[in-house]
Amino acid sequence: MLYKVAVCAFLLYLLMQGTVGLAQQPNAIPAGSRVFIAPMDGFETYLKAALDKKKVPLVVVDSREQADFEITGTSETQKAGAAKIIIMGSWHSREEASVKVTNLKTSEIAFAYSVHKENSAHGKQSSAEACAKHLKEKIEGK
Amino acid sequence: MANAKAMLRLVAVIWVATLTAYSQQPSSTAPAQSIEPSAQSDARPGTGSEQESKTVPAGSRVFVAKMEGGFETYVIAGLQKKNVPVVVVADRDKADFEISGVSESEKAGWAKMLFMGSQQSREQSSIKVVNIKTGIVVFAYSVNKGNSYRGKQSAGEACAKHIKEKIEGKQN
Repeated sequence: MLYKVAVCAFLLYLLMQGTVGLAQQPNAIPAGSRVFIAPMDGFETYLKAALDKKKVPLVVVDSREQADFEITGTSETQKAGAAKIIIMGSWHSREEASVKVTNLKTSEIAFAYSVHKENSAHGKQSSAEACAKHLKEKIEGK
Repeated sequence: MANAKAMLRLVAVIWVATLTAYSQQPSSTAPAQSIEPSAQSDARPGTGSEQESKTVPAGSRVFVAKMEGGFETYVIAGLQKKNVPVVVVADRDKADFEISGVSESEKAGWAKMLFMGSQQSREQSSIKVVNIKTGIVVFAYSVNKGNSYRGKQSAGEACAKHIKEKIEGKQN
């Protein structure tokens, strides 16, 4: 009898660990999720390309209704002026971008990331790939 | 055999009850450190619970309103980066608190580059956190960075860091 109680208690403990673990990951982004990238003044195109280049395990869809998550954000580029080229010796642009991933069912923000590159070698491409890389790390649980 | 079946039934019932209880809790893993937001609806200014109504409990649901220049996204990213124990929602109706504010950036001109040797921008931001139910401003913060290393990202993270300190009770 004592043996049976002990087995049941252990089984209950294992079940509760799994339940708590599941309940504590409500803002997880499962691999293979369908995402919709909202228009961001053209940055969304760079982001789509970056998601592909970085092999982020998401499915990009064109319709918000078909998506599980929505990616929105903002991006800003400042081209190097004469002062920066002459004084700082750099012709690279300054890039700032910030994105957030919203769970469309729960309206919770599952992921958000900001990037700032003072001298971006590849402009918007670099900032988009930085966002994609960190999104991939989020999905993979790193 | 009958006892084993009864024990298994009991285990199943307790598991379902636990699953239901956890699914109804706030998403944040941080335990609540003070009064739940729903309890603050009875707070009135000037009453004994005025102090309590100015707290931001861990696990609260916050909505970040649109700000000029898309600064709200930087604030949300800052909240995540600094592991602030709140749940950010995209729907104001589902939130307990609302974060709103302003932000301004000034890029380095030639004079700053030439004389200061700095190409970093100057960032100014100010945010406030309002309890949606009571309308009380529970927290406000301003930041000014003369040479912001990472532009709006730095300003957003500074706001998030101080919100976290407010939640953890390190700020009045």
